[in-house]
Amino acid sequence: MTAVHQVRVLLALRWKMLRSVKARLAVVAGMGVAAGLILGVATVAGSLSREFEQGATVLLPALLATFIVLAVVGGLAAGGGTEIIPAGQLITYPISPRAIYLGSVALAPLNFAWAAQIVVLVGMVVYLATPRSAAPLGVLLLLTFAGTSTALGLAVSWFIVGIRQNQVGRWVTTSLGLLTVAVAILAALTGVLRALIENPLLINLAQSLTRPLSATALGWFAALALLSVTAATLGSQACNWSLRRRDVPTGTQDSRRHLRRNPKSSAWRETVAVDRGSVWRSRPIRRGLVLMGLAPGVAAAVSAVGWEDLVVLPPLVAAGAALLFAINVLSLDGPGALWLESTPRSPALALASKAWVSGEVVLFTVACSMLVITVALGPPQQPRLALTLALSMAVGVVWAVALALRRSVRTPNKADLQSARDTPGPPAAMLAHAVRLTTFAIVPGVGFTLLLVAGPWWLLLVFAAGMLGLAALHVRHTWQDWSRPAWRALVVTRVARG
Amino acid sequence: MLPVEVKELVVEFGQVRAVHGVDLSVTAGSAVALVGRNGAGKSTTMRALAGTVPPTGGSIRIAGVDVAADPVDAKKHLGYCPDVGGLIPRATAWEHLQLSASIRRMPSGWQDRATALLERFDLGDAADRITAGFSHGMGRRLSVILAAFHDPQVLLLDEPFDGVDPLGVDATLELISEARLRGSAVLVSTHLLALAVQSCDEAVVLRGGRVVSSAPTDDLAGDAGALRYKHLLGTGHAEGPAPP
Repeated sequence: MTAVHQVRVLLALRWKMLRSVKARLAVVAGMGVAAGLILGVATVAGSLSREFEQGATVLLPALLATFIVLAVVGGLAAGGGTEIIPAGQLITYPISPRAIYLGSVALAPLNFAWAAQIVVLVGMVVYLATPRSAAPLGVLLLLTFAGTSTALGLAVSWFIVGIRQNQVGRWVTTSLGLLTVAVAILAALTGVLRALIENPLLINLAQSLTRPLSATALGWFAALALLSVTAATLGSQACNWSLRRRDVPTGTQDSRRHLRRNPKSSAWRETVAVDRGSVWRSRPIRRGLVLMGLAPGVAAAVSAVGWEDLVVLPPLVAAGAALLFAINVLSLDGPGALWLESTPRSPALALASKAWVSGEVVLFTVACSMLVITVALGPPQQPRLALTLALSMAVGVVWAVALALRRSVRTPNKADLQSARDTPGPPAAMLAHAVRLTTFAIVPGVGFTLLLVAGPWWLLLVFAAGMLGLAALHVRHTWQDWSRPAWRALVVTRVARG
Repeated sequence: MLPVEVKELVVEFGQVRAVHGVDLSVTAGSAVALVGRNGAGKSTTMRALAGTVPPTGGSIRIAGVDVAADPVDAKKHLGYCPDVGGLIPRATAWEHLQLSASIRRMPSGWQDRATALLERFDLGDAADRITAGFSHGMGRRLSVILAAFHDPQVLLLDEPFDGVDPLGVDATLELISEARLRGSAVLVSTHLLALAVQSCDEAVVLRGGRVVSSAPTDDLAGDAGALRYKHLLGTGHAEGPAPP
């Protein structure tokens, strides 16, 4: 059985694992919404006047560079990419490393950051396309670039995952990673990074994307196709090497002794401390949060954008952080949910603790990304802009947590969130969550962006209050479900056993 | 007042009726074993008693408190070891005990009892490790500790011996004896008949969600008892008529 066939079988199995018609319809609807969003962005971008052409032309190479970097970093954060079916469930089957690698490539579009970037890039390419009628060809070249970058990024990430299979490798790669981040920030501050991004190759690619009828564009099609085949070969080998190289005994991280902390003064504080530990001790969550906290900020910082263009960012980062764990936050308790439910703890305390920890972690992530941008751009000078950004942050965090909490109670599932490749839900569910959260994150983001340039300042406060009111409604509905013993029992049983 | 009083308990999951009108009572200082095949309704009954699954019909009273009417108060009187894990994966053993002490507002000094229990169940060295790294047996032992930690009036142990080594089994049996001496009512759900006989003085046999027999565990001891048990389970493997 070839690797491609194995991937097909695994995808079919994953589809069959969606037992209810409702779940299958939700997947199809989710994919439809994602496609609709891209089409909508393309349509709007195609109808806009060209007054921002110069700025967009400068921005495009930076966004392409960011995509390449995130393809590697995203793959690394996920320990080699998303799994079609968790490795633990396939342990008795001869799934080839090539199939594992190709599966990661196939599922890459389900990644929130990947999808968000594609939406933005499609909009940019369509907006800048000359002639506009050739935009579909430009988008096709963009998707070829995205596929090649993803295949290449995952190949590099599998190689690094392989190096990290022993203590020395981990030490070396972590040191190099920190050094790279430090150098990148320094380069961004001194303008060297901008010069690196604006290199002839990336500018040439950007020009080909916007002038897809040119001979250069044809050359890029051929080069990217060749590169993707090479990346697929290298990636399969890197994955194979990495999986064979596992000389670290399984569970080394889990057998570490943790410092004993003093008892907290109340059940609430103790519960919050345990929930907080469950988040920060999880490798996939920790890596994802670092990525979400730094990457959008670094990307924005090195791009030719100002604070005015970044009002939409906090809700998007908040949604990205919530996707890492908060959309299935009750699964943090795992099998312990059954024991906890038998203790004399009020249901309100249990849910409130999860909401609190989700809120603080999401806020921390958004604050980190804003801090990185502040270092690069300096603090926003106008009071109105500062107010808008603060409101965008607050509303973005509350929205993301309220929506995620609702999903946690409505569609819970067992999630280990222990190994680097674990996600809080199966791939199809993650797609649905990603589409839903992105769509809802765009509402406050765009709303605040529009109100920043038009309307009185107090309208910002009214809009924020309205959005917070809607979030409160979500929380109220969530509580209504959670307070029903029969529903709570269903949730607890699902997160405890699957 | 009986510590555990169950009347006409019914638990349904959608179209599936897992428990059909179970009546059960456990007196103070006694231990009752719930035995039966897989899917007999043992764990569902235990979960309903622990307040983690709401009953569809009937009533459950723990220490005189109606579980459906006042679940939080009822849970103050019980300790529960669930059948699956029952542990928070990324919390340490000590943090579990700390959380339990905090939720139950245990007086200061609980640390000494926690340490003693961990030592007795050979988990002293693992106290500060997260439970995701525990073996199945270690997890079972910690679950039993968590159930008994606060000296509850009602001790509910669901498959406490499953995958536990002989020393762990001895520690669990000892803990059950101590709880009974203290006046606690103990309910043990297990598929291991020999250990049910050893730890309890009465056995309730469940089949298809119904109680098919309730008798002293001595009646299920030895070869004759095992044969009788097989007849009660309706396996068809036992040859000849059911022993009296």
